[in-house]
Amino acid sequence: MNYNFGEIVEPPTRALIDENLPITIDLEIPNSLVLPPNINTLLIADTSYLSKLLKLCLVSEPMFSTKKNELTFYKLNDHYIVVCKLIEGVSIGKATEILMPWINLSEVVYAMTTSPLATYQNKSDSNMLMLSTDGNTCYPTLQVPNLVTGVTAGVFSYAKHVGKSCSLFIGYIDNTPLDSVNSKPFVELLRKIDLPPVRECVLQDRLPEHNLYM
Amino acid sequence: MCELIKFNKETSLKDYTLYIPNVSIGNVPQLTVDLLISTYNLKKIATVWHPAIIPTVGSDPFDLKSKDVCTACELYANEDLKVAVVQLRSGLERGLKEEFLKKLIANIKEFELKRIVLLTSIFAFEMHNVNSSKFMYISNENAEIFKDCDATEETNLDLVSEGFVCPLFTELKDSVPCTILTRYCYEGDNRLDAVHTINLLGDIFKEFTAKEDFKFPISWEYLFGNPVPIEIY
Repeated sequence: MNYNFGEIVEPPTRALIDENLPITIDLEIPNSLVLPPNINTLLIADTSYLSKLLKLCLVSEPMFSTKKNELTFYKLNDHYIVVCKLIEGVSIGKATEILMPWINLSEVVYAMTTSPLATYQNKSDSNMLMLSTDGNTCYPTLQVPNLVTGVTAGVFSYAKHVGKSCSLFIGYIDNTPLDSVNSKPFVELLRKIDLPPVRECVLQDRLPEHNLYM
Repeated sequence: MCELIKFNKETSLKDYTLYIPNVSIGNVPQLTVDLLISTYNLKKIATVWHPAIIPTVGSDPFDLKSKDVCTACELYANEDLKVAVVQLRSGLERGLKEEFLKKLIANIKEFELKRIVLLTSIFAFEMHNVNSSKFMYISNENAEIFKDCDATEETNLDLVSEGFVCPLFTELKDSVPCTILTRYCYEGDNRLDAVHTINLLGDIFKEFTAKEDFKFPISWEYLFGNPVPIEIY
């Protein structure tokens, strides 16, 4: 039954027409966010998968974070790690602007993200792919027409624009919970970029949330 | 804030024609720009960065062997044809769009361009006369150049109110000859719309000759996703 009788319904469009996008909200930056004097390595990671992994095996107490923990900064010797967890409506551009002075100060910038395996187009023998501004090829290159979006893409674009060395790693993963098996490629990646895990990422037993089956 | 447009070498765009695509129905302007770049061998000359541009990055969409990367907004040019294009691969954040357009207009005015062509597209059902051309233009150029072309002249800017063509046209028309070219189309396989647009641009501005064999970019190979997996059979 057509409930839209008499109403003008416009067909949808795949074009990213901005009238349909929500007005973005700004991040609230804490006063304690102070730029360090020097940064050896800056690692920016997004997606909840990587956030869990880094908290499990690499970082512990945050230095500071934005009001709703959209950006959380960690320090590990001369290395700085930023974990991004942007809520809907937060401007990616504004988040990248906060990270700009950090990127400018860093000697090396790395970005890590994940994407569902089902979205990958083209053929690839590896689930860990990368893009680099300076020809770094420690992993296979992300093939066309696949694109990366989000804060890591913002960071990479900015680094490319200002001529900063940056590598972006994309792990294509199945939709499974984090465990010691599926996290191995990421742990290996952390070792390759001189950020070896300080704790082991062990297989977690998942107790059922219901009592229907043992 | 860093500079909006960063050229990879000293470049002058004096007397160039600049094509700017609007993000619109069927992504026809963006497809047109992609096809222009790959067919007429335009080279990347600058990256464009602003927090308003929704970031997307990927490999070089025109050369499989290239180690270069592509970002959301880039500038390409062909020195021989004196043609430059802006390729915008994503949208603009609504709250920051005005700031970006202001900066873009200020930069464009410094280029001393010969003309600017703003490409856009709207739904075909908006055509008032189904027998008229599938192209419509609004321009402050000499009407002579449109004399023999298959496009309908319009003066009402409200017809192309989506996106950023209106503010760009309004701000730039007093400094440089400016044209908005609109393609009426539907969502679907819009590659042919891009081909027709380029042919019409060649007829009007005579900067490039019409081609019979267009060179499609390699990124168009998976325009509609991966092929069907054989495992399902």
